[in-house]
Amino acid sequence: MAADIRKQSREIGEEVASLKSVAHAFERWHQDMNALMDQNRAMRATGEELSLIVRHLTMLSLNAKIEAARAGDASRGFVVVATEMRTLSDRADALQKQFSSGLHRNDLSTTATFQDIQASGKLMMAAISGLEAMVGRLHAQIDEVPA
Amino acid sequence: MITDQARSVVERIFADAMRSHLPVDPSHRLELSRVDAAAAATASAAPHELIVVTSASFAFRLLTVFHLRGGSVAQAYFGRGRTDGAPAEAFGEVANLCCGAINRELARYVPHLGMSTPYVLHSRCMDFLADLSPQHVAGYDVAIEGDVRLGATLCLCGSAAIDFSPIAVIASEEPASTGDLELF
Repeated sequence: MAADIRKQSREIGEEVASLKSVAHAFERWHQDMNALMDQNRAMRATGEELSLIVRHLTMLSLNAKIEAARAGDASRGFVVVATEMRTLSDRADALQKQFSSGLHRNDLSTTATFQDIQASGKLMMAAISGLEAMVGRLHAQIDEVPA
Repeated sequence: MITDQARSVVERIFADAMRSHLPVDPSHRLELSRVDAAAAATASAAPHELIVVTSASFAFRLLTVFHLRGGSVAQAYFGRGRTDGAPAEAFGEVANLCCGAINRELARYVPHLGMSTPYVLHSRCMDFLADLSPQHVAGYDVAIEGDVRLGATLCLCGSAAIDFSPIAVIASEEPASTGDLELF
């Protein structure tokens, strides 16, 4: 009877010890999330570059319209081109703002998930360590029982 | 859902942690005022950085967000006179200490808790806080020594009912582990 209890207790101890391997899964998730965060950062940098180009395009189209107005009737065709440029730059601006907004939304949800995984990983490892300590105490008590 | 008791416990712990850990000198006066959470979250203020730290339990996650909108005054204050680094750099350690205190106190009510490392986000991310389906959001304005200003938002999310019952407090009088093993 006592030998059986010892054997079962040892098996529980081994099972609990193997649970600590869950740390590898957390490390893997952590690496994946890190890669995702890096990707977000790179996309944000691209978004900022895009924003500069759109701003530049808007300025150019404004200047083109002013120059066309100065030139009078001779540049009616140029006015059409300048107006079309302005329409395009406005559309690009709206799209860029939407893109930037999407990146911020992504940043928050990715960060919240990343941090949840990180914090939950720590709490689970602490819980497993607590369980391991309890099993260790149980072993010690069982060992004191005469065979 | 979150019970009124859990809400008041979390808010008290958060306020206590800010009072104890935000001033770089314990003699500095800190004024804390509740503001509409949506107002605290809005991007109407000039763009600024946010520092986010998450505490997680099995039933919920608690996001603590600090809004670094105090400019160079706050940067110099938290950087103890240094103004060469990014504001978030100077504040990261303070945020960590503050959230560590929140976690330690919460551990009196919740047996299993873990805490993330701080992360920097753009203030416009706050526009999407509702995406996290929070059960409770509280906003604060913080002023230290009158002129060092920042904002703070507490965001509690969970799929299960959240309550910190008095029985849980008694049961966890033996200090709960906040985690000896460090991952990551």
